[in-house]
Amino acid sequence: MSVPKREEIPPGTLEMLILKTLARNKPLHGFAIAEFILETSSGVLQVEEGSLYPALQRMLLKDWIAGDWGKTEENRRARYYSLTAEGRKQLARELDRYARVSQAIAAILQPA
Amino acid sequence: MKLPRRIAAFFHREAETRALREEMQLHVELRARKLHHAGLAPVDAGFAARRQFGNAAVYQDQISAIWGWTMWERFLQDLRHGIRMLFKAPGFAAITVLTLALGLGINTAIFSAVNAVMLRPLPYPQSDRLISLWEENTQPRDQRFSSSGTSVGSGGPVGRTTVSPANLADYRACAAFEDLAAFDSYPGNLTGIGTPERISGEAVTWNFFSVLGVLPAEGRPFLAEEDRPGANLVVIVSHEFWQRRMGGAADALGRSVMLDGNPYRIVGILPVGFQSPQEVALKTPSEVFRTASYSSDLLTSRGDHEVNVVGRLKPGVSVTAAQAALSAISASLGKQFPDSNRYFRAAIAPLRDDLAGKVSQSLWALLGASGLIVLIACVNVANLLMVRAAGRRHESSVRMALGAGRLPLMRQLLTESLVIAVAGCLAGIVLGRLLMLGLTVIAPPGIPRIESAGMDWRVFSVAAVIALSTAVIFGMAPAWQASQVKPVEALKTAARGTGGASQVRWRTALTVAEVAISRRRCALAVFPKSRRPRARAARRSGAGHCQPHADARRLVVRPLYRRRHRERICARFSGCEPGVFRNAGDSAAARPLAHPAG
Repeated sequence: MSVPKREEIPPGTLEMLILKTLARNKPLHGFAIAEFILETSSGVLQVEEGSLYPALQRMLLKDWIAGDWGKTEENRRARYYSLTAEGRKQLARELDRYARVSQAIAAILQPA
Repeated sequence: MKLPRRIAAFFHREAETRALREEMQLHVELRARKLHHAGLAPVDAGFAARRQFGNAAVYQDQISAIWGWTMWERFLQDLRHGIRMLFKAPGFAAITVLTLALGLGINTAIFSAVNAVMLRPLPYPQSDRLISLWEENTQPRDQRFSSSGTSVGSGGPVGRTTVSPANLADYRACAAFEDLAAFDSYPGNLTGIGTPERISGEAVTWNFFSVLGVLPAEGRPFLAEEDRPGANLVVIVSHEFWQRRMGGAADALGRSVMLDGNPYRIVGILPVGFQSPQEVALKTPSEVFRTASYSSDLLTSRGDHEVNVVGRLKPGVSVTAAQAALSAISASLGKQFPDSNRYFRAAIAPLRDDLAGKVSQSLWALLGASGLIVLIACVNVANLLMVRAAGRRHESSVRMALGAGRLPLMRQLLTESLVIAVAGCLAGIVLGRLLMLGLTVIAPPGIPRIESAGMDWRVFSVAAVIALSTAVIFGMAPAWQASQVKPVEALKTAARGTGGASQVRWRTALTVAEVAISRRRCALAVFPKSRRPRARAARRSGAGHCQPHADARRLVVRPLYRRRHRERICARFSGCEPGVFRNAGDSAAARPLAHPAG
């Protein structure tokens, strides 16, 4: 099995990726969020734990996501994160911004 | 929304930290299982997962910072450390706190007294419109004694005097006043209730209570027709009289009491705590108020200056405007009745200023002196803190060598001095209360309202601001110095004692400041009235030439006092012989301080 080359998450996009992940799923715990991003990006985007948990805390504080304690399939206690209404709005804002930025970058990069 | 969440989280931060640890633990385990499924041996999978996860403690710190706990945690840490260090040096702590407490306590007590006497409003509704009215004899001094007393208009009372009821009738016509009322001390012999007793009371015009804006709590105020000679004898009694002498009897109204052998019918009982301006100025509470009932003789005799007058200005009329209107009236009275009124002019002042006036100057001087005491206390505390910082250079350098940043070091020293300041502040307030009690007890009679002096929040906040700014300003100096420590050098020399050159400079500066302040304070103590123009003029012209008057005796003390003080300073700070600077100028006192012996 060939392991694809892993890449750092571009700065400033981690929160957007987490928000989108939560928007597409039922509530997930931290490890599941990282796994989802890794799998969905076909193994390219590796979320560092060192950025994931501080990011989650930041977003909790800003009230973009909510954390509720639940049980995993193996009956372990875990905090499941879900999107709040405020988080949904934030996701829309970030997607919008990202679209504009990547369009702009593409415009610069396309052959003349 | 965000702030309450942060604060709530702060109090649950232990639980939150545990939760995070659990979350991260699960993460590592889940990853280990995944790696195991991918074919790694369980032990290797566990190691790999942990390696990949990294340092959980660092993440915890980052998350703490996100929630804004770091600052608080460090503050609490510094606080604990500061309190521990103070307990380790109990002598230093006790002296510093006591110094602050003494300075603040004295200041608080004096401030409370000033506050009660001068700043608090009088106990009357809209007391800012109340004025005190008196008459002044404007006849020049030299004329007064040169004429051999033949003219009726000259002589009589000197300077400020009470008002003649005859003139009062004219002043009442002045449009600037709502009304004017007269009052005067009028004690009476009370018989028929228990043992006969002489009780204090006042004779007032019938409108007295309405001018003050106070209605009897029971019954009614006086009627105009009761304020005439031969009218029915009526009396309004104080709440205390009713309670103490009549047992609070429900049928007190309408009953008669015997005063000076005559039956007076009680028509009103005053509200609890009523004070007439008379008792605000004196200390004895007035128990009975009778109508003045001036005789027709008195009402035509303009030379009889007999009564105190209180008035209420019409809304929106200033004291200056009222004074102008009143001056016009008294000038025309002077023309109309030159024999009695030529030199007499009516004057007014806000009632509060007038009541406080007699004591206000010395109180201000006292307040200034006590403020300087606070400054001296603060300088002393700063000195103590600096000596302590010098003694802790070694500790500071060790800590910096171990990697403590300058900022945390400064912050910690600052927290320490804040602890001292807060402790000193609290102790000062306790001490202030005690001094306050003492002041009230030993106060000479005649200082108005001093017995009602209590500490209030203004006193508290003034004390707190002084203490806290002391800590911040002077706590900063040792903190700044400590941060200048070069760890290697300090470790090498491990110097104990008084510290480097910069510290000596600092302490010299503080000593100079202290001497300067105490000089000023002594001057204030010796010349409490030096702000008076006469005294100022006398000082300018040299004490030897000043006119002999009440202040002169104290003024001539100054050159001698100055010289002695200067000699003492010189002897103390440079070890030189007293008298060396005897003929030098003022600046000589400061000169030896520039080269401290130590």
